Amino acid sequence: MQETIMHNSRELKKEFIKKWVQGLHICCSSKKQMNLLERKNKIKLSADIALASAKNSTTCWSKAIISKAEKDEQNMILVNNLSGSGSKFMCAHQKVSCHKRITSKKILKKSYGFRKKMKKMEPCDHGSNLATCIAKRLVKKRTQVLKRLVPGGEFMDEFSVIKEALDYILSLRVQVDVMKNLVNATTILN
Amino acid sequence: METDNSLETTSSILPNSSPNNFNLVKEEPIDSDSLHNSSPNLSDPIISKSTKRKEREKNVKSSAKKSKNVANETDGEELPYVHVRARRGQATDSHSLAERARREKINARMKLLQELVPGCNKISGTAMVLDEIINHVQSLQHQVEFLSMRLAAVHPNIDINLDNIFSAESGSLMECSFPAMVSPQPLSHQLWQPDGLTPQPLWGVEEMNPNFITPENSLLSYDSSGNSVSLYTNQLKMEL
Repeated sequence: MQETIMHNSRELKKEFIKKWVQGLHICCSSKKQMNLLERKNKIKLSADIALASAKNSTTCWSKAIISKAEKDEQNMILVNNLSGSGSKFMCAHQKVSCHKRITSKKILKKSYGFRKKMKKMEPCDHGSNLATCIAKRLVKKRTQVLKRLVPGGEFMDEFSVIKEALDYILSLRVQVDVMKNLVNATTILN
Repeated sequence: METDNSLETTSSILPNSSPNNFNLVKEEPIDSDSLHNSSPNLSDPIISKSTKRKEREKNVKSSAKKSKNVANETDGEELPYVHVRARRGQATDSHSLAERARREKINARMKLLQELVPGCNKISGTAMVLDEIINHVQSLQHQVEFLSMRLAAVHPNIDINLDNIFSAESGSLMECSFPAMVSPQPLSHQLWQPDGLTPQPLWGVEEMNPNFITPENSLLSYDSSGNSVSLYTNQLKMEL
């Protein structure tokens, strides 16, 4: 399994570098003078979008990053060039299905409220209930935090969040690797 | 003729195989209900939860058996129900069956995550592992921020020199992934040999010369001679 992970990350690295270079060229062609903060934001944004588009819409978090970036009109040029026209269709589709998911979750939540009332009537007959309740609450809190961290996590349930987090961690590592090497290269040259 | 929700398999669970079992759960109710049709490959939790409720009423009488042995094979046929066998001495309540199946899924994924995140192997308990994962993700995100700030500081304009990029690129392509980056590497030079990338033979030739292996350069094995750099960049440009 380690070999497949290494192989996949190498492929991802190549794709990411390609797209990031593209994105940086687009960025520097637009404005002339930018202060430090703007430059950093542009660099980070192009890196994020490059990473997400290198995934080719296979994962939920990548779609979430791209759709979030598309909302800002300034980034439209960057996003369009990097991700290509194919992903636009995917993003619209994803938005629709996300919206459906949200509404059906709301319906479920209302029914959950009703179910909880019925459950409270039942007596708790399992032993060591307190410990499990505490454990469940801890896990729930942490999954909420994880949902906030992973892009697009608010729309997913716990199980998919874990799966997405797996993939997200791998891709973040790739991103950090490439950026570190670039920084080292520039510092060595200068 | 029964499928099993992999009650007993632990490490043999692949993430790809588990949705197959749950596709069967969704198969029948999607046709009968007027719920919106999502593609069966999406692990849509809402639909699966509500279908599970209906499945339970049908399944409780027919499938809740207490047995010591649990079958692990999955059928390729289309089955209307998912039969979950209860282990001996465990509750056959319909709620807890589904709960247990769900918990097994989550535990399998958590194990994968544990292998991935460094330092998670010794920790037991879902909450602690989740803690570690959250810390890891946060640290990675902060690293990205910090590195992009450094890049912005180094380059007065975003226009990063092409040759610079390609040399860094070749270094990063050769670079071993995450944990190996800690130590400077005479080792990694040898590791590059089995790599199948095209600029590789040139690297091999250069490696013979010990002058180029200094601590600062070892991370990239960046060659200071102008000829070799232009050669590499040309090759990489051809590749891309």
